[in-house]
Amino acid sequence: MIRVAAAGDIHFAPDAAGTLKPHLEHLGEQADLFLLAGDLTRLGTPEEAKALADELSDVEVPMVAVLGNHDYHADQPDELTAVLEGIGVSVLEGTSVVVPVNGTTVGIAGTKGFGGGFVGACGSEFGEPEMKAFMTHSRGLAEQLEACLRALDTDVKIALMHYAPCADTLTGERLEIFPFLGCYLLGEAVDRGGATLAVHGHAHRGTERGLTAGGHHVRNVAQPVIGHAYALYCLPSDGSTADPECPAPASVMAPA
Amino acid sequence: MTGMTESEDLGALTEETRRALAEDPRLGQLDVAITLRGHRALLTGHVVTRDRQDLVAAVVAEHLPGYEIDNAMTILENLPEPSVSEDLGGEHR
Repeated sequence: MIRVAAAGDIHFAPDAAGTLKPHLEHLGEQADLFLLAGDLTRLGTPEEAKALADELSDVEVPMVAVLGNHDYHADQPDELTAVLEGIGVSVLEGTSVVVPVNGTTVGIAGTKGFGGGFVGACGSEFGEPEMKAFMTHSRGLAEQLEACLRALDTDVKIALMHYAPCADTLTGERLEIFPFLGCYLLGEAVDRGGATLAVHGHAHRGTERGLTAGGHHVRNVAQPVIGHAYALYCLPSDGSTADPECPAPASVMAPA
Repeated sequence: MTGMTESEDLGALTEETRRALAEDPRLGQLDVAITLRGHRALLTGHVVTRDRQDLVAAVVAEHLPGYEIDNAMTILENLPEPSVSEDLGGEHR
């Protein structure tokens, strides 16, 4: 059994200092790894990343992150990445990491991802250079994600991204902005790459649960959606069948 | 051609205010819905702290003078830890 904690869209900054850390105290008892699905900061400054790093510094399980659109706003993604990696967070962009969990291996491939839209209403690399650049960026990140997933030789594979890989988890958002919230190409990458679970954020008014076109689990872990500091998921150790031993979080089982 | 209708005017005003919230260097706030009804401006969406909620209201007030602001945004700070874990096994092979 692999126990996954995940959260996105924390939008952290120094003005929120001290508000997250107390709610991560039991994460190490509840989960084997912690996934951060982008928009970790408000404006993408290293100062905001440092404030978040202070909150995360006592988390005792491996942490893996991707950046989101907010994290790019100050044009300092490398500086943000350095701050987070300084406390041991693996920050992925077209890359992957392998986390050993109780004798099994969990491979996590990550990308920010990008928009474009979904089947029947997706942009294409046609017309003005700006439109071509938009879709080329989206396609390129999806292709990198697929390549990373395919290259993983692990018991379980997880795809981590900021933008959504399917429209299911956008339910609740205005239809007009779907092309800015995700792209079906990410979903194709998840399916072709064989990920057991895809985790994303970005869609604050969306829905937590969905599936890719190929039937792979998708979870929108944006904090406004999950309504908690993080969400918890149990995956079977072989990436396939149900594990009946998946327990409730330790803090829930403890006497009141 | 005539000028914009009143509803088009309000739509443009609302969008200008939303853009100001996104581009304000103190905020970078994208998740705000502004609904104008009569003399009231209803704000919904999510912010991380109460200070940010207040700042959103201040920026909206600058752009929508004369409107009474109903600030119904949800504050996300101090979200609790989860009480359940979802089992994702079973159907996947």
